[in-house]
Amino acid sequence: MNFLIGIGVILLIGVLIYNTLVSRRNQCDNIFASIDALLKKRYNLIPNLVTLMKESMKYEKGLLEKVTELRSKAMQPNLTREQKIAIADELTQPLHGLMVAVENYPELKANEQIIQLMHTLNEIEEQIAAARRAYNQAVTDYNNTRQMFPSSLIANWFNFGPKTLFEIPEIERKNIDIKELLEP
Amino acid sequence: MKFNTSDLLDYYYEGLYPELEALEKERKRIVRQIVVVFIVVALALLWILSRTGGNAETFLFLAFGAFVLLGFVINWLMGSYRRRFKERIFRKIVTRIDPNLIYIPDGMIPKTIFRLSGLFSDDIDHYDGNDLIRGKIGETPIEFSDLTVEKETTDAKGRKDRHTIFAGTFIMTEFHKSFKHTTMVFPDIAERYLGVLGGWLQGMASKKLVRMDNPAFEKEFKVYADDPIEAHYLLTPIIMEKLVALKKRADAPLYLSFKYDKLFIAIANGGDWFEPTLLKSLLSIDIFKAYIENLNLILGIVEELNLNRRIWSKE
Repeated sequence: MNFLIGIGVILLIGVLIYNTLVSRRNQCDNIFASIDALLKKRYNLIPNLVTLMKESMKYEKGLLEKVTELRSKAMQPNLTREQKIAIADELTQPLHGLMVAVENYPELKANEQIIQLMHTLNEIEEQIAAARRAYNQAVTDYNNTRQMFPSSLIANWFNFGPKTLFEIPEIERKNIDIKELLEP
Repeated sequence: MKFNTSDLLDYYYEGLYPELEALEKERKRIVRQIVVVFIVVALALLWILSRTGGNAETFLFLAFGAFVLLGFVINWLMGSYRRRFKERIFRKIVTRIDPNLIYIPDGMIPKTIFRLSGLFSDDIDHYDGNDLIRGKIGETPIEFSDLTVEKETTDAKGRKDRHTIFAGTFIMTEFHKSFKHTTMVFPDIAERYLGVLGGWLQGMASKKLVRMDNPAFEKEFKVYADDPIEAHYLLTPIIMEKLVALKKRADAPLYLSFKYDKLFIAIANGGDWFEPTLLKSLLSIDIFKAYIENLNLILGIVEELNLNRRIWSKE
């Protein structure tokens, strides 16, 4: 009898650990899905911004081309998580460059549409940064559970693979103060 | 907003000096009156004791009665002095900082707002407060007051006991970012109050404990949120650092709730910061500095947390 109770308890613990692993893995996937959605939102803004800026920006042709090119790269289907993030990272630098470059073009600084777009973009950038931080935290929680005893036994058994953390680029940590930028 | 401690100090000692002196005289008079009342009550107590033979029970009963009586007398004597201090000194300090700030000595943050924050148990039996200040710092509206919120319990023997749910400064302001869900920040000591908060904790079950990516912040606070991404969006690395610093400055447990587009901040510092002193001189610099530092701490939150930074689509 005692033996059976013992087995029951062990099974129960096993099930609880399994469920924890599943819920933590799902949490990572959920948060990644949000990052993905935010990145799409960001990509949707870019064509408008580029079109509006193109006419006035004389010296930033390279930046504009780079942004357009990376955007079309990001729109390709079947990208892996790592690729998506790599492209997003690569895009961050020129995009911020564009936002700072607006400083040199008074007519752009006065354009309502551009200001609106930049506000929205800025907000999305900060949301992306937040989602990445949340993702890393979720991955850390998941990996900890995966590696710690006794949950590591169950993780190995059911093939709960490791997940990688995303590096957070320094530029995403500090955000551009658009208001300061737009002040005459 | 003009918050310059040395300017305020000059104002206190120059602009307010005649009023301060008059009040200081009143304070001394009240202290003398209290001493007289105390002696009379003590003598009366002794006299009654000598007449009744004085067993311990009667003595305790009478001493308790005398204690309550003394409390009433002090309160009564202090009444006009307190009102005068608030109207003629404290109000002037507040409007000196910013003429647009509104000060209502008997006002308080309404109970509904306190409840709305969701930070504390809403099983409330006693709700009181004072010193309401309302206004705008830059573009950010802010409103705060001292609050004392208590719950009454009765034990098996029928004895009533009051438990503090919250005592301190309660602030309602706006956050510069738009958000849809609720995010709450609690001091990492909340478990201590499990007894009082029991019912309320169950209500929290729908929210998830969100771990944040700043060890110093995690050590001081616990974050509960509907959406972990939004929690990270609101609590940026910079805001987390600022909150740790704010907690250190306030030297009291700090509660925050981002809810319904508002930011509620509760500083459990015991409350009643802006009361005139009775036993210390009003002319003492430390007393004045304490008033100013407390005001600065609260009004400074807007600047500290960058709440004025309207760069987001929320205008």
